[in-house]
Amino acid sequence: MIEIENLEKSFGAVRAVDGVSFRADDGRITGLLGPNGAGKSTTLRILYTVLRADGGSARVDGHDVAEAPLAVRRSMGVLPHGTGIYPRLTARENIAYYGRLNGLRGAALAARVDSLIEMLEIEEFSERRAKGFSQGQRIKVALARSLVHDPRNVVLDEPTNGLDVMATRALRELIRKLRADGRCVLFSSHVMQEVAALCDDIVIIAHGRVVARGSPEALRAEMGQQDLEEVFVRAIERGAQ
Amino acid sequence: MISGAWVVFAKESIDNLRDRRAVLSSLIMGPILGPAIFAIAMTAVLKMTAGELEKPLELPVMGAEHAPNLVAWLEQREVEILPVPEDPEQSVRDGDHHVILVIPESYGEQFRAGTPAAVRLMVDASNRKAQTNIRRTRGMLEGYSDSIGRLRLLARGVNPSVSDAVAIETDDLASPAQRASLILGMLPYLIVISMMMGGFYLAIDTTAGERERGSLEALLTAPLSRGELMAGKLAATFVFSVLGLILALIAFWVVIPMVPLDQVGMVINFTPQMATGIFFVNLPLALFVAAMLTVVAAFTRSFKEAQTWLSLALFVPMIPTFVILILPFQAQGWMMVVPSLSQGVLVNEIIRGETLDLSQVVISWVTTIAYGLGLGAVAARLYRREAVLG
Repeated sequence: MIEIENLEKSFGAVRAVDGVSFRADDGRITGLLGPNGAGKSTTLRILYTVLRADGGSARVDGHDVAEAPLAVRRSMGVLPHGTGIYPRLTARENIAYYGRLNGLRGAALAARVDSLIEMLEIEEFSERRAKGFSQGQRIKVALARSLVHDPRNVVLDEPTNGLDVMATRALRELIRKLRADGRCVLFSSHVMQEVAALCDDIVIIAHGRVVARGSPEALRAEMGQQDLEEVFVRAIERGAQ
Repeated sequence: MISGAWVVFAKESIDNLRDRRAVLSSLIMGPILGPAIFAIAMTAVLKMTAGELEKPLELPVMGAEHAPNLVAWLEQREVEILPVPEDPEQSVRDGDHHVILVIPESYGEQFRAGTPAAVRLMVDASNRKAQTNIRRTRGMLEGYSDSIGRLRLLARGVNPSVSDAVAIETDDLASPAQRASLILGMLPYLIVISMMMGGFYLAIDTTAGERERGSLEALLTAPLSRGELMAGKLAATFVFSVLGLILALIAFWVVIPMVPLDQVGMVINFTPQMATGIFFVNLPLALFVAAMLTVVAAFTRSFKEAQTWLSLALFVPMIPTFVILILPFQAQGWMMVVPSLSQGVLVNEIIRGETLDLSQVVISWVTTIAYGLGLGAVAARLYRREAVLG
């Protein structure tokens, strides 16, 4: 479970995040939706502890990001914005590295990496070095890497960026699988359709503030719009006023 | 804590070993090519000096008919008198002849009058190879001038030694090994380069490279502290610096016996014991160098930028070794607290076969390690900044 309360973050004079609050529950997919520059990535970066908030708080399974960053990282799998993997390591080695960083060793590590390779359908290229992987292959490896410690919470920052239709579909399937396992999935996107197709809860962010929040149905009702894209635009306009 | 750093260390080492370009530059170019070039250059220099001394001096003489006695005197001293080439000035410029003696017509007249009889030497002072022969020719002419002068004094009933106001005698106290060390003063410099080259690519790849690839952000979400992360990365760079050092010492051990130092009366025994001593003296410097490279690379945003800055940073530890090369001075206490300078001084002493002052070694060790760890802490602190994500 992820709880964010009144989060604030400025870069110089720019208020990137200006009092963001929401929560993402276990067994649900929560979509963080907003135009580019709305503060999605900054919010997530504070959540996965690479940035520090100026104000407010964020907790993952009850661990505060500022006070217990290591506990937060242990209970969370992260697919950051840039999915850089190591080009001179094979797919398997890339995943195993993160397993070791999370304290897995020996047979337990091998078993875990094997099961992720199977789950994410990496078998075909698991022993190849990552140099020259397609974007879809890279995302799969990066995702496997973020799941290697079997985290209860999974944070994905614009995971479908640069993916083709087939890869996007496969990724959606996977995110649903994570939900079926009872995990808390939080992912960001600037594409309404994508969020609508996948999410149980939607949090719309604009100008560093939460401008609307709820299930797709609730948002449609609130805005009096059937078309979700229209809902998105209305919500952003409302936030700007 | 240790195990997280160990995982990072193991990964960075394997990753670097798979980078052919990095391995080529860190383990071949720096540590092996350096000593090889050193040996070739030394051999060339020694062959040149030794070779020129053995050969009879070849001397084209212009106007030999004006000074038959002088020419005969030179021939007695095994100077090979040659006819003057067509364009004497050009032949000197081209290096065909190192020196040409010109005896003007006025020589005989001035000689008989007892005034200094002018002769001229055509030389190209910028030609390094010609220096030995220029010196030999000059020496012979001065010898001739001196012996004639003495004869003239005797003829006037004056003791020739009155003209020697000061008698200069030189006792060369340098043992052959010490003389050799003058040339081997290059060694500390080459050793520092080998350590720098050893860690160069890893320092960049683990910091700026990781950031440029976009793999840093994910790594920062792994459950280990920035201190552990930096410790692992630094350890990998350190180990490759040490590898560079070891390879360079092995290369020197192979190469130095091939240099014909004995031809010029020099003796240098580069024994495994000396190599071991040099290794231990330089071990803390490898840490210092690795930490310095990492700090500089951690400031930069891309591989290219890091390469530019690191190339400049390479010079910093070289400065003291240059100083030693140019101004050979005695080891003094304060030098031991300056990294690179202390190792340079100690390496020089080892090469000269002197016994090391243990307290100096300890000071050098402790201070250099302290600076190295200090820089390591700075690197870890840089990684704690948010700006590290750029």
